[in-house]
Amino acid sequence: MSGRTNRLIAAVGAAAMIVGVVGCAPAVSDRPLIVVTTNILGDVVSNVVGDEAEVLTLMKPNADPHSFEISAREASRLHGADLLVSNGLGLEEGLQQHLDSAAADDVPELVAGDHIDVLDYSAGDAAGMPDSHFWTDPARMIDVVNALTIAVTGIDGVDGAAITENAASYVDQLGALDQQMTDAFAGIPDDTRALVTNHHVFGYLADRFGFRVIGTIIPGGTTLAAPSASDLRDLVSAFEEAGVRTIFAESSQPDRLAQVLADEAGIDVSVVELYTESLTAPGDGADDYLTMMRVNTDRIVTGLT
Amino acid sequence: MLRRNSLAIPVLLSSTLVLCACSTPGASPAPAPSSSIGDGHGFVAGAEEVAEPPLHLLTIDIDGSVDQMDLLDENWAELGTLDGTTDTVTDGRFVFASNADSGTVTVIDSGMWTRDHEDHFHYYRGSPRIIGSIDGSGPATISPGASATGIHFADSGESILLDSAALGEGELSERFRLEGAPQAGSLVQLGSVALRAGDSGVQALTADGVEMTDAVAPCAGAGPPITTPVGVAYPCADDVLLATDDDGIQFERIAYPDAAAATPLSGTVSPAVSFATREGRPTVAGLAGNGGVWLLDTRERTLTLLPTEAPLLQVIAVDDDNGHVLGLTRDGRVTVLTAAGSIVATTGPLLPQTIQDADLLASVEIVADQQRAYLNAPAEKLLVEIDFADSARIARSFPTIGVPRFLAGTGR
Repeated sequence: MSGRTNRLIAAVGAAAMIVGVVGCAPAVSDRPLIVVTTNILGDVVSNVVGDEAEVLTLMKPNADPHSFEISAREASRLHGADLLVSNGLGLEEGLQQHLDSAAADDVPELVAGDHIDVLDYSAGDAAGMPDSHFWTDPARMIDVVNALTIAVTGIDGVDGAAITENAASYVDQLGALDQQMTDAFAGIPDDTRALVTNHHVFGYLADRFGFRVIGTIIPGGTTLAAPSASDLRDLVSAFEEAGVRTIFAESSQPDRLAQVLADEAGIDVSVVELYTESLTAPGDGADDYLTMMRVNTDRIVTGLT
Repeated sequence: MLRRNSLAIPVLLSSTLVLCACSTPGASPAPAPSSSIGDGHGFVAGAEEVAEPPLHLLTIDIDGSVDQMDLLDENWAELGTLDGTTDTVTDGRFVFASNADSGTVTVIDSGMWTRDHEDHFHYYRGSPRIIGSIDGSGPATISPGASATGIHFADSGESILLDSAALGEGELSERFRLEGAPQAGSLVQLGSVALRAGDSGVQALTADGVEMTDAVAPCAGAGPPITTPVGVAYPCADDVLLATDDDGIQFERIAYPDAAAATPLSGTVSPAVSFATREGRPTVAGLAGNGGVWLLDTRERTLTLLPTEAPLLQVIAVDDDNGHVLGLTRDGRVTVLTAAGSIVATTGPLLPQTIQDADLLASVEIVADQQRAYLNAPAEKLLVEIDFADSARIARSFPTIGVPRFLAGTGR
């Protein structure tokens, strides 16, 4: 990359020396800059902004929103941003000092968590703390888009009408997603609307669409290597409580887990993975927010009906 | 790439005073509405995030070979050689191997770790390596904390705080090193400060190692500190000292129950001299002389005796829903107790040869996680996996090539 940069600089420099006047260099840096922390919000912001501003998403695909780090160059760009969009509610803990320092520098900020009806965790060690994973509810994402539209429209140099048009179109798509999820989940009987899961991110989805979340610990590989019935007691009781036979879980050995449950506890279960906190790389299954939500919806419906 | 060029070009143009008649809007290159610059942010260099704790067992054998076994696939990796190790301590990722003869502490990065995010955890798998050594004098007392590890050399009185983030980069970075009179003691991180224990008690230090005024507490014969989610606890001669850092440094004293509430079944009860627990748990266990086990709940600030029929050599709290506590008996069995005080199961003899060698027996270590416990059987050349919740069943056992004198559980 740097080799190409150097060649380009050399070429332009030579032209300048000889001719004294050069044609127009692409002046991309004159577009307003919006810096976004997570890749889920990065996708949403890009849909609203279109070509009206440059959107720099700090979090890479398949990364961890809680602990990703940024380069010194990105940190310095963050300070020059026209708008800084973050999730808030404690999600970007690894980035917080950068966000605080940008705020102290008067970089305009939009914190998504400030514009939604916040839920607290209901169980576990974090009970009572605000749940930061609001994106599992598309209606709350619409609230964020509405706030975002106002903030972006106020940036100097953007075409407010274009933003409003983009936002309206994206809100329509979010509304369609919301309806699609409502319709799809309506096909799941009330008594099996239960997510047995080791994910901690589905509180908002459950609240919005009337699911019970039954948190459970998935036996790890070291347990599954030589298991006994006692290792599976918690998991089996979670299935009994839920009345379902699908677990939505991250497991390094999903097939082994299913086999052990069949052998040791006599129950046949499916282990289904959902997308949780990050978009994937392009083409890898959940490369934008709408796709991520649709894929999860399909997997939940298939798992519970 | 485009962005880099566009930044470079205007600088060059202005420095050569070339006229440019560009109008700015609409002159953007290929639309790049969303960008993630590919310079490595977001990933921990050289590490992969995985779905569950990358649990491993790291051993140092009597010939100095450092090896690590993946508990998922049972494959071994050889990390290098380290002679003269006399003790090991781990924070779940880094293993600190001290050599009392050379007065050094060598840091081994297991390359496997878990990061606690309060409401959940993240797990990483990287490359193990031996990072390097810290020089001191004589035996070292090593006390891991959340983001730094304290090392104290009793023979020289020196105390060093090693930065964990730097260790992750392969660097030995001392946040500070303090001189002192030769004395037994320790140094440990607590939140944004540090605590140094010695003959005059436990003294709080700033992040730079400067003694804070009015932040000292007596603790005669302070044993090694243990870090829990609540704070740092020290076994003292007569009670337990608990230091917390929620709203400035606070010292609290936790008293042993009186004799009526702590009657042994046999033997005599004496205060604990050290504590051990599963990584990240608030309740810790220590030997109550030869009369049983002390359970220290740092959250409730209580000390409770679990009397045992037979004396134990070492104990560790699992602190799960059943309050399991594991102990090593003098005849080389692992016994499972519950916080209610009853023995629920005991393994068969695991160390028939090791118990005949006092040195080897002293280096046997029980490591516990939520479902399984592990033990090195040095003379037997075995590592043993115990399902303590299922009648202390031996779930798996792993033969070793050498004599696994030291054991550390990593990936926690």
